Amino acid sequence: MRLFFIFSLFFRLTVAYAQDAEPLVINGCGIWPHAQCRGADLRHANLAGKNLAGADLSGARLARADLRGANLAGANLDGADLTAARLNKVAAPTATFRGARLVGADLEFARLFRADFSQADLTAANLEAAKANFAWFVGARLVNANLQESKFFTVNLQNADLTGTYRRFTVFEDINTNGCVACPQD
Amino acid sequence: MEHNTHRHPRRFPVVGLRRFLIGLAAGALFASLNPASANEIAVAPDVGLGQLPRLGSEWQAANPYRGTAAAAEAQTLGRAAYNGACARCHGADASTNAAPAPDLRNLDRSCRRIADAELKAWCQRDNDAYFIKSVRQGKVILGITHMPPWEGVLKQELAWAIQVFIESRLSGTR
Repeated sequence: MRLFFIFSLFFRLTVAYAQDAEPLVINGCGIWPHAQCRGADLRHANLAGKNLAGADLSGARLARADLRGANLAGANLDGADLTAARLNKVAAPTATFRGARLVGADLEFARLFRADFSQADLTAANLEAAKANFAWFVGARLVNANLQESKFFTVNLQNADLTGTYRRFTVFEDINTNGCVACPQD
Repeated sequence: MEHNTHRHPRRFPVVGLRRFLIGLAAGALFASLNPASANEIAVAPDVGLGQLPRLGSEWQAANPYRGTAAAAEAQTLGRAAYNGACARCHGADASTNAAPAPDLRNLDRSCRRIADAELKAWCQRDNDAYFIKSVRQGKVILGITHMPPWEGVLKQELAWAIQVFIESRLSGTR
């Protein structure tokens, strides 16, 4: 009986907290799945753990934004500025970053299955232990990026530039390296 | 030796034909399972527009039927259109989470949790924009068509009616 009382008290508190926790709105952008935030100014925003699945963030300004552990599944970040953004452990399967700027971005442990980084600039980005299986990096610039322990299974690296990348224990398997600069050849 | 030369010409073609047919069947099965060749084709459902208010050729940004007098008919027509066009992948009557394609009842789940009416309406508008963009453009991911574009195939009225129907299928969960 005492256990039931404690449980019900906890449950009521949880429900009350859930009802009070309304979503954020930052500079005209609602922070929820499928948000329509094209070109929004989200620089330095704290979006850690937020659910932005399917959001349209194309052209958004996200420099130094904190997206650690956020859900960006299927989100559109084409042309977005993610300079020095924190994307550690972000879940971004099938997200598109075409032509996006990710210079110095931290994508450690990011899950990037089937993500599209075509023509993106990932100069000096940290992709340590990131999983990018089936992703596309066509024409992407990965110069000086940290690829330590990252996984690139069945990845399209056509015309990508991997000059100066740090590749300790990086896994490249079944990759397309046509026109790629400094891609592994064996 | 002579005996063998008489047997082989007769047996080889039979075995060869059998192998050829098995190979053909296996190839057809593989082709049907290969995602690259699993492209769905959009076929318009055989459903009329009834008395639904006509929306013209310009696509609306938000659902024009939700919460209006036309919602009941939209739901009925939406159900028929859904089962004719979407159920093949998303499950019959939008009532299963075991279909190969996503459970569409969860599309506006986050919006339903919002208590503030203004924020909720805003979230719903964003969700409508996502829904109609998905319908019009389909889901083409890295060159693979997971869902075909329905623009030019499905009438706008039916697309919004389908959304009204899906939202009517929600369970009691938030």
